[in-house]
Amino acid sequence: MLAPLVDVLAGAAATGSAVVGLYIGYQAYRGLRRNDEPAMQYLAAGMILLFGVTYLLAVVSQGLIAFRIVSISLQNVFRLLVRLLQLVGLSLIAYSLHLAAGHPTR
Amino acid sequence: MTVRTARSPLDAPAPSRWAGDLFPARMTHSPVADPDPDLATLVDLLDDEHVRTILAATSAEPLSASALSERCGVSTSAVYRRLDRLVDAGLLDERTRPRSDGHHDTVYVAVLERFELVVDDGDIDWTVDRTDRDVADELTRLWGKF
Repeated sequence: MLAPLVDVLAGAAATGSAVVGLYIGYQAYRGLRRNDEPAMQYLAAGMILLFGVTYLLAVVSQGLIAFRIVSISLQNVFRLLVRLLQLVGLSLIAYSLHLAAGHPTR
Repeated sequence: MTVRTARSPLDAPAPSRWAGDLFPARMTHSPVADPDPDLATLVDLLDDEHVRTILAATSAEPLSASALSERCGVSTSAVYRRLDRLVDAGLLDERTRPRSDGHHDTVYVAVLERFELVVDDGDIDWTVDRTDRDVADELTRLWGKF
């Protein structure tokens, strides 16, 4: 009886973190345009990958599985893909951090 | 736009801060600009012709200290003294601009938009309107500081 509520809350929290993550990515992109700061390019790409692309992939894969368009046996493949994208996104952010540290602003 | 209002009884006039040019302590930057400069500081700053030139020029486009020194016709060290005080008072913002050789120039942008003085009901009120700091610029600055 509590399970559906938990599902809805989990989905809402996932959507919320995607929205906030994309907002930060968007501000990083604007920072890139306004300040010509190359570090912001990788920060923006990392945030969008980490929050936007993985969220989209998770939602789409769950939908495909729920409507039996793809076999449930592919669930782990999708999980692997999401994890890999998270790894790439975080690596981009780490790289951006090193870029920013390499060009101290004053 | 943020509006900050301060109200205070008329203070005794503070000694001119340009004597403070002698004190190297004024050259240091506080990372967070004073949110509300007092009236004496404001008026003292605006009393200076070069300060007004700096504010006017940087309200149109971000400018470096050397470009401002050319516009004011004074040495860069004299410009830096004024820039430091303006940044400390929160009337000017520091930004960085990358150069083709990979280094950065520090440029300055006017934050002061409007300064209003109202004498009424036995009190002196003043309002400082600042242009909004952009979230994207703040993020860029913070990320560079990590």
